[in-house]
Amino acid sequence: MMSLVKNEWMKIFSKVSTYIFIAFLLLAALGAAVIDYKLSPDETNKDWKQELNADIQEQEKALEAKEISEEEKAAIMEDINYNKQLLADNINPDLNTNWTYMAEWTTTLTSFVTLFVVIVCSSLVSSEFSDGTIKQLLIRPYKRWKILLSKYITSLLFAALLLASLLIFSYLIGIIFFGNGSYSDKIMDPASFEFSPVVVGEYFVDMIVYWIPGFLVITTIAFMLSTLFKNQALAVGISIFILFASSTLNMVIQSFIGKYEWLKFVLFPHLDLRGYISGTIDMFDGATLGFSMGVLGIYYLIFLALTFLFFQKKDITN
Amino acid sequence: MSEAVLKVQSLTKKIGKATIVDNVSFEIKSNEIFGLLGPNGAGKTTIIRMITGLINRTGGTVMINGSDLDHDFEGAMHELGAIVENPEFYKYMTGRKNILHYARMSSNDISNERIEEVIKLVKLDHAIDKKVKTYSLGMRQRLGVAQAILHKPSLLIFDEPTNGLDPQGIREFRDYLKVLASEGVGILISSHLLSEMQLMCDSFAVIEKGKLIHTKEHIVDEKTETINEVSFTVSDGKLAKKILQEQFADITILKNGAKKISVSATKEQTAHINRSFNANDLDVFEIGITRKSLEDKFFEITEQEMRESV
Repeated sequence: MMSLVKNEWMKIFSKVSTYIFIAFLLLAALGAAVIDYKLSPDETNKDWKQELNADIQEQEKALEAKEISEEEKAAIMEDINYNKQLLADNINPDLNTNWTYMAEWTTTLTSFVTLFVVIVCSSLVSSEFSDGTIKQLLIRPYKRWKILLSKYITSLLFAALLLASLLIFSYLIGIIFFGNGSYSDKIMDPASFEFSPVVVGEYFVDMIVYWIPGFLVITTIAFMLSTLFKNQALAVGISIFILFASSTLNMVIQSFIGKYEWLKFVLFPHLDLRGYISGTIDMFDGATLGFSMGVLGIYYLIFLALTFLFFQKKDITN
Repeated sequence: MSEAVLKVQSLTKKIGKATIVDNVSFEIKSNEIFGLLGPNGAGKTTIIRMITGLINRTGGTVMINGSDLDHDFEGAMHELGAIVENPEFYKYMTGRKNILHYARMSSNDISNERIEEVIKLVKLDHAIDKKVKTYSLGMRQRLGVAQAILHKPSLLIFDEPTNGLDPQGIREFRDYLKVLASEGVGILISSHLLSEMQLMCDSFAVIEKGKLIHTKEHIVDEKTETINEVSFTVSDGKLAKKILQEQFADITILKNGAKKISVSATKEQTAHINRSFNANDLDVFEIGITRKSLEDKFFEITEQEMRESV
């Protein structure tokens, strides 16, 4: 089995596109750092407490002015409360470290990891059909399921490699641009509309960990399509379509989920588990992390079973 | 006694109601080059794909060097080397990486020396580190032979191996086959190009509409080979005719003239005729023979089948 995985790895890394994908991740991490650097103050503001106090004083002055409406008054009151809470919880709103950079940008750049992994995995089997090499591959002293399993293991290893590359690139670039900040600094939860402070490092780790199950299922879908379709372009195309359509489909499903109970068991609302991190957004009534994980797990097993059964029985006729 | 390296028994493939391959059985021994002949669409490729396990069988068994495809797939595949249709490779990799890929998939360890030896044998040492996409079809065919023989299988299968090869390539390929067969390998070749098969194969089977309609142990049998026409140029045509009619009543005279007479005979018979001509003081200046080609035989067989089925 090791030698089969070695072979698949060799094939992936004999293609120029693989290196382009990895280079792209590096450039994207770099580009994000440059943007972040330009948008935010050069260095983390050390005098943020005084500034916040000054802000509060100004806002209180503004409240005393005569010609303001009730609405404006309420808005200013909210600002004051928010700033006071920042002070009370010791949260620097201008904090800019490698951790805030990663929490803000790396968690978005994971979309590229998904895209590239889908492209590579959806051509892993279908390209053998397109190139005609499948005939030479299957007349070896290995049972078909072993050959397919070696390809699936390779998909997972490749997915892990791209994710690791992104994380390592971001961490290093973050240190270079913003210095090595503290893991336990507090920031406001970007996904929440309420006042909810979170520890930046924990938030970042959660964002990645909660993203992985959906990523694993999408990788497996791409691999399944790669096995079902003999045409590489078709397999890659449909996989990417599903990837992009999934968030739209998710919204459509969410809006009908109250009406039709069974929509709860459709895959799409469960693909992105990151909504469960802060727990502030309800996916739908009765949605829990456990339930979503269960649905994902069942789909995952079905997809894998279909892939292997189909490949085992298939007549190789092209 | 050479063992059968391939034993195919009542091989059948049905798709829906159509029977693509119907109850085909044959055997290939080591040292033998066996040709599977038939027009396009006769079922040759389907037979080969069933033997190599690429498509499922509706019925029948396949034994490769004693290993049953159903019960010991890995053992059977270990004894097999093949090029199924065109020699396809990972074009974005070098020839060497492609060979390494298949070497890793062998169930016995293949040394670097063996890889070098095979590369040299197929005369690719100058191009082995170039990407396969730069290779000509002939070079790909040679790389195909290299991956097939790498693990020293006892059965080689080549499906339409000379498709798209130039005469030089075809000749090279034929020479490889002869060498491999002499080393004890059994070889199965399929083709619709009959004249070519005649030059390559020791024995053959004719497939038509999925059925095996004819097998012949050896195409070239020195003694009994049918010769279409033997023409003797002699000093006296009339005397020759008289001798033939008296001593070889079973031989048909095709043409006769003052100095020439032609008959339908085997090689053995030709030698006997020549001997009795000499014994009767008839000078023989020239013996011309026209061999019945495999193509003629093929048409003879298929036409006969057609007539019988009408």
